[in-house]
Amino acid sequence: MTETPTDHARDDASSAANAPRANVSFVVDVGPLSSVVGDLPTVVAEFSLALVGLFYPSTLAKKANVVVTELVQNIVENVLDPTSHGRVSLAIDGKDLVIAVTNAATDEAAAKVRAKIDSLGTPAEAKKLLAQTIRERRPQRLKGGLGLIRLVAENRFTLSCAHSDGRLTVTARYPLEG
Amino acid sequence: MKILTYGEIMDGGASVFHSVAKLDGERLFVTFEGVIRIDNPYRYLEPYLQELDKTLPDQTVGECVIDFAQLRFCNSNGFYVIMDIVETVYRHVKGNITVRRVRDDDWQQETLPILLNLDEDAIASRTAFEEVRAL
Repeated sequence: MTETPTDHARDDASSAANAPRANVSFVVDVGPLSSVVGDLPTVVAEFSLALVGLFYPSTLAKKANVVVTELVQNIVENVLDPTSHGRVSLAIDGKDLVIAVTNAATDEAAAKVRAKIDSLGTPAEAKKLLAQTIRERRPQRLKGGLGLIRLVAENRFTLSCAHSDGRLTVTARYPLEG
Repeated sequence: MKILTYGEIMDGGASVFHSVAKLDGERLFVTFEGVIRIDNPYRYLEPYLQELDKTLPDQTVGECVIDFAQLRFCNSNGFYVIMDIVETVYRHVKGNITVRRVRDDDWQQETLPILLNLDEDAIASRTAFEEVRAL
């Protein structure tokens, strides 16, 4: 019997559907943060883009790129203790893409982040907030304030945070089933 | 094809982003290519913005395409400079504008319309999207 291109396509589709989803994870821990002289967000984000892209569609790899960029940017722009470490983790367990960053933060700073996350609501609500925040901040070209909103509005992640022992962890989660 | 002006961002000694405004007859193309990741893109693109604002009023433009298809990434620090470039084009080009963007790129689908200010009817009525696949 002769195989046709259609048979191959059917086999490929079938094996792709049945294949277990890849588990992918890494942790980067750097410190003291005062020693970071290069572009840490870019280095970790582009690694995330390349790594996730090896196993998953580019749409998911791009989401990882955006989230890692914005969250690690927040770490390097908000260094409370120059001797402290920053930690970035990414994990895909076949069900969710989970990215978390941890750094030293005061109770006050953690409360602000929690309030920001609580204010984001659904992606549609976050999108309105993104538009409003851009309009408000643009005249002064104010830096910051957009990253977390973008992760929900644009990339449809769910955000949460936890603060203990003086360290704040912000977690972004995206279900692979969309 | 006449290059009207261009701007670029250098990082680590290499060009990582450039935007070019060029005229082919009466067709104006404004292209964005590369990645915007730096902290303050105005440091590199302010002269381009000024030149664009100075040059465009002298041109006869019948058709305009703003092309984001090769802009691979833009961090949130890059949003305002994108808005400024786009706003300059819309201010000086009187006709309709086609925006080329990548179909499966979250940033280009969700956030770019905000940066284009499509909430304003005067902008929305002049704007058409051309959806393309990632290159």
